Amino acid sequence: MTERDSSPLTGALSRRRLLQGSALAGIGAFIAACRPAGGGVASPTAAGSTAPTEAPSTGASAPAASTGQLGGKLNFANWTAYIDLTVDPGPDGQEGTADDAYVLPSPTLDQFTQATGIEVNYKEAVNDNEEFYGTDLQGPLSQNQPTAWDLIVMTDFMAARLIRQGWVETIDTSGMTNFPTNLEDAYLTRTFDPGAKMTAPWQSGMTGIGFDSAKTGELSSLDDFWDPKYKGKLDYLSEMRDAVGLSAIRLGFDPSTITDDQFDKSLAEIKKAIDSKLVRTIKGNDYLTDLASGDVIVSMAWSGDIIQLNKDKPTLAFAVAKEGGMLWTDNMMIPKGAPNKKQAEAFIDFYYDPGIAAQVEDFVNYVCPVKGAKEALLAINPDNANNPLMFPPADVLARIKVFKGLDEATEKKYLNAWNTVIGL
Amino acid sequence: MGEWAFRHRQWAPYLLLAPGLIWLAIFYAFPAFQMFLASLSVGTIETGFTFTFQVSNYTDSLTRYSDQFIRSLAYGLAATIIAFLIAFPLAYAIAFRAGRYRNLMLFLVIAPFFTSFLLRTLSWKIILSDNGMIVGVLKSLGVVPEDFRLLATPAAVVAGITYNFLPFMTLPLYVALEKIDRRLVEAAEDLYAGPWRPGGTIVGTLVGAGLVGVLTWIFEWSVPAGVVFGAVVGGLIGTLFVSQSFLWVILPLSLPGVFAGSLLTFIPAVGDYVNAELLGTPTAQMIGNVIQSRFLKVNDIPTASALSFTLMAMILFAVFIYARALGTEDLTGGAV
Amino acid sequence: MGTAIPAVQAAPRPLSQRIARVFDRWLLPIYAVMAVLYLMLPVAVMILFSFNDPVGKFNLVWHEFSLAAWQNPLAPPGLGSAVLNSLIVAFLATIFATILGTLIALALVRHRFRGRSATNLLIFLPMSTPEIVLGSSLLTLFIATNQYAFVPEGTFYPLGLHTVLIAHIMFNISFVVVTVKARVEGFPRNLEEAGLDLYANEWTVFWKVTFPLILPGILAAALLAFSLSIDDFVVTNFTAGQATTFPLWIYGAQKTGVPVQANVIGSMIFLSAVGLVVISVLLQRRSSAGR
Repeated sequence: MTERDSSPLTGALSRRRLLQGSALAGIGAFIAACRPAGGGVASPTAAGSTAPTEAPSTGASAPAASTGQLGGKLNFANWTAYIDLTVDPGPDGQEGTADDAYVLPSPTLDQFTQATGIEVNYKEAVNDNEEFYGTDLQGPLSQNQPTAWDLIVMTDFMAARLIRQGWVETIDTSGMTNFPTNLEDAYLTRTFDPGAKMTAPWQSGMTGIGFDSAKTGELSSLDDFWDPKYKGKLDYLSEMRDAVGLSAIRLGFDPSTITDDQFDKSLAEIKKAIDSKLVRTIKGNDYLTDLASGDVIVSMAWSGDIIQLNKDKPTLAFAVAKEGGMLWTDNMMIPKGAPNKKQAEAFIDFYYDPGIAAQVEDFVNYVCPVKGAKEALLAINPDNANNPLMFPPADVLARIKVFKGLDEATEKKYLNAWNTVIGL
Repeated sequence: MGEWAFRHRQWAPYLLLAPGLIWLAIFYAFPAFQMFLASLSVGTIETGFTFTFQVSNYTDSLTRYSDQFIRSLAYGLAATIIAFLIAFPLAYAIAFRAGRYRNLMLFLVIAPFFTSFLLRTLSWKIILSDNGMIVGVLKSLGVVPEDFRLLATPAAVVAGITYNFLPFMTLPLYVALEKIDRRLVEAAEDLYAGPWRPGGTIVGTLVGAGLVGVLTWIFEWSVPAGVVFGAVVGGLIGTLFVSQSFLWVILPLSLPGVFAGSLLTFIPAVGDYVNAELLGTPTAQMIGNVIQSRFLKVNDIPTASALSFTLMAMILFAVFIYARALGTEDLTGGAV
Repeated sequence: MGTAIPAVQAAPRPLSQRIARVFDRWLLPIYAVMAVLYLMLPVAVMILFSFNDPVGKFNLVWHEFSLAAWQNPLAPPGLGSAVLNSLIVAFLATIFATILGTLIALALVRHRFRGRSATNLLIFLPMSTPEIVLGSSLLTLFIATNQYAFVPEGTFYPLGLHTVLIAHIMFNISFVVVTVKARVEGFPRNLEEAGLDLYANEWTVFWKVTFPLILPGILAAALLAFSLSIDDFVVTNFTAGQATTFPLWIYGAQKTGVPVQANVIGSMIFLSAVGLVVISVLLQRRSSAGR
């Protein structure tokens, strides 16, 4: 018995171990071999639709050559797909197929590194303002410690809160050529940061109606969000300012001067829609998935998103309602105590060059806050330059509103009321 | 070495316990205690929090979020019971009938865990999509109306929770069933423990009616129809399959497994929020969503902490009652 | 032998008992297979859609078959390192949690000591705590340690894979304890006593007798810990800082569309795990057939 079962048994054991080991080794080797060549060294000129590298020289003012080779590092936290990325066509060599990858660094980041010698650690770490605040900012800053980031991008209301708490550095514009010179005038008068001393707008966006024109026809009115025709196929945004703002506009109020009473009335309308099961879900960014799958045909939407979704569903469209829409801005800010403040400022200056801004704009498709970007973009991609969603015409600009800046007590009150209505 | 160990062996348990317990003390107990202090504080994230023994945090949040609490308990309970009904025959089959495929089947039960649950839930979204492979087909066959949907409903949330925790229910049941001595079952049958008596029918009818009734109430479908349907189906299943040897031999012997499986399912189910977030709708939010919102979106740490501890207290209370009823000696079950 | 005992005639089996036999023989296995299929359904869909070539960025609707994603599975930026991070953390967390948990389980079952119910409570509580509480309380702790003099600066904060590892070990210990305890409890002590009687010391008895017999329980616990760790999202979200694991990466990619490659990675992990088990089962059968 001993002889007979020792050899097949131990033989089997070692065979099994060998197989297990080689399977694991095989997977490991596979992963190692498949790593994209050189990580981020995908050639910047491999891009298909993004600008060729001569663009910076068309800019009105000289790009960052003036800051010289500053060197150093920059930790930058941004939202997803918010900077121009390179399209790596993948092994099949063709763009637009499943093996494509949008890789970092972006062409403009490469140009920035070449011009200034600063190495950028770019992370798409921001998914949600409050979540980023809760996990990355509030902890260290409340204890006077620096965060892990030198430059972050936060939406208006969060920027206002951070400024209120004194957790943002003032941008030192003494050596800068492009900022705030090239900043569109409209941004210089925002109540929470007059003169743009602490925030540098990165992109703006509009909130309006996203819809599947094949299923709904052309929509243009905020009443569509309360239309029983779309019961169960309607999404609202979870961002209080966007949703209540749109409701307020529909009732004839101005969100930039909204009063408590008007807020309550607007909120009541939303509550009606939810209670009568008109609204399917209330979502943040993932309303896009619902639109793409067809589960939802009308949604409160952000302008740039729909453009990016058109490849999935060409019939998707966006419209700023005739009653009006919301305007919001995502701002670059330097958190207090950031170790690489100078590098962050160099970054801001570089990206306010119209040529660079145009390259970013071409990819991101939101509203650009940089003067002269439209003209620069005409040279690269005239379709985008004339897209009213990226450079809104005057009549649209006239009816989009920024939500009123709130103090802490009011913000808390409004958020509480909003959360009660959405079941949270 | 052996002699030294022998002489000092009353230290042995403490030495064995020390590393793990110290780890838990530092990284679980201490932070949890800090959070308990936070739950009795006031303040905001901007002004800082001060400890004032603010019991109103608890009372206020209980009254304000009573809906979500009840809903969470209901969903958790429903998911646990459904998981039990699905898992018990499965565990029984693996324990009694699988033979040499037993380990393979056990592994297949746990295998879905080897992929990200997010990917699995996203797959469910594809499967249950309004025009997808299930609902779309039903619609084109005319079985359901055009505006019917499975996603973004309480039903989807409960189904998601049940699916996610099914392995947690199956494995303990299997372990307990596997330990049962087959000869006891055979002996019972030899002693004329006949397969059918009214007991099975009654149990089946009641359980069926009750369960389906509760489910239809949760899912906001027609409750009377649900109760009748449940009674009929439950009665049939009870009559046909619930034998005396099952009721009086197998079920009692597997109780420790039932206990452990139910706990391992109910506890995370009640506190779950991802399923409600991905598959739910505003009127189907659970207390986990509220806690997440309070922590991450509103940064209202005192309320969020109070809610968390209230939830934990409810869970522990339910566990305690359950433990008393089943008579097991310690909280983690006699034999998982 | 005295009077012969008359053989008991088995009564003809009633209809209901025959139904029960049918159930046992056929319906039960069929049901079991169907239940396993139900468990596998989303996994199957995930694998299926890894062969999809979607129209745009969202992989939600079947478009056409393509192997492109399989040929370039790590193309999306950050996916490869996220997967690697997940594997590393899961592996290390499994090892540490299994060791710590097994020690506790042995102590609980084999020894009498004071503070038994307190220990049971401390083991049980993490399992009944919502993950979000675990995560946020740890985050607060890690940030606060920067102020403590006895903690060197930068140990816990900034967050990273090491803090994720700490968190994973923490919540895995309880599950390991429960699983191993079950195995150790049902295990008769007479074998150990026999070993001791035969002049082996406790150490030898442990390694040569106890350990091999409870090994299945330890392996089951390790498997459970590994799968809990590799799939964890909530706690990892709070304690990862800049680091990414596979679930975090997917969650972040959701809004702009989870790329097909994520399905590919998920399929690879799943298939290799299943493959390993199938192979070992086959090997076991071969070795037992050769006996």
